[in-house]
Amino acid sequence: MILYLVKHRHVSVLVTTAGGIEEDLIKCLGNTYLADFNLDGADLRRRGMNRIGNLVVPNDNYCAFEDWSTPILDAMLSEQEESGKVWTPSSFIHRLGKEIDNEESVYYWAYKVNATLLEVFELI
Amino acid sequence: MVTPTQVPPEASAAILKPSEAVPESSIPVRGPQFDKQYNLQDFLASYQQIGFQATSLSRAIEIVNHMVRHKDIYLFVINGIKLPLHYSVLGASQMMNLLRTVWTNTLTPKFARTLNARSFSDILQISFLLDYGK
Repeated sequence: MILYLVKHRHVSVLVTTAGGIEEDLIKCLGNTYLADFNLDGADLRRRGMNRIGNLVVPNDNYCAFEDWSTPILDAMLSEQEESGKVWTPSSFIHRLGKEIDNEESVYYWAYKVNATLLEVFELI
Repeated sequence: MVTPTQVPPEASAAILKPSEAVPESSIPVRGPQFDKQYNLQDFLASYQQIGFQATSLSRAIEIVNHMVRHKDIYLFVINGIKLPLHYSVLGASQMMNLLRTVWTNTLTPKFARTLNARSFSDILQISFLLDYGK
């Protein structure tokens, strides 16, 4: 729904959490699966699975995210050092949307249609 | 500045723990694609793959549909009276009225009138007592 609204320019600003952005990008790198609220945490941990509510995300997805994001962060740092341009949360997310280059991502479409993204971190 | 090589191995092993392969039957999360034209049935069917409570709602719809389609499955049989499973989609008071009407013909009228239920579990309890006490 959010993807559709962003893609067709029905919104110009999104206010979200860091977790919302992270999961939007991670879902492009690997599937999240339907599961159950009552799974055994110790068993999931042994199998390298992370539970979010009644879903599970293989830990490999987070590893893939690390592998994907680290070189981008390195490149962004050297760009900042060269040009003196300071990254803001919205320009940072814009860049990640460009890099993910995947039509399943909300932030890819935000980059494509040039919406201003304003990220608000959770305070609690 | 901390470089990746300076991360304690226990910490990176805990965070970068590899996962086992998921079973082939696992269903990935996938929201409805709003660029597609949906009819109501297809749209509701897409709830199954959304996750969180949308998946639970989809499961509830599936169960009710199953109950409605399989009218030969009985919730219970008491004194030869069969209560079809799909009647349990009715509210507790509607179901109690239905039962009372049937029971009035098989039990003493006075006893039938004293039956009352506020919830589905009351109905099951009363049914059990009737069945057990006969």
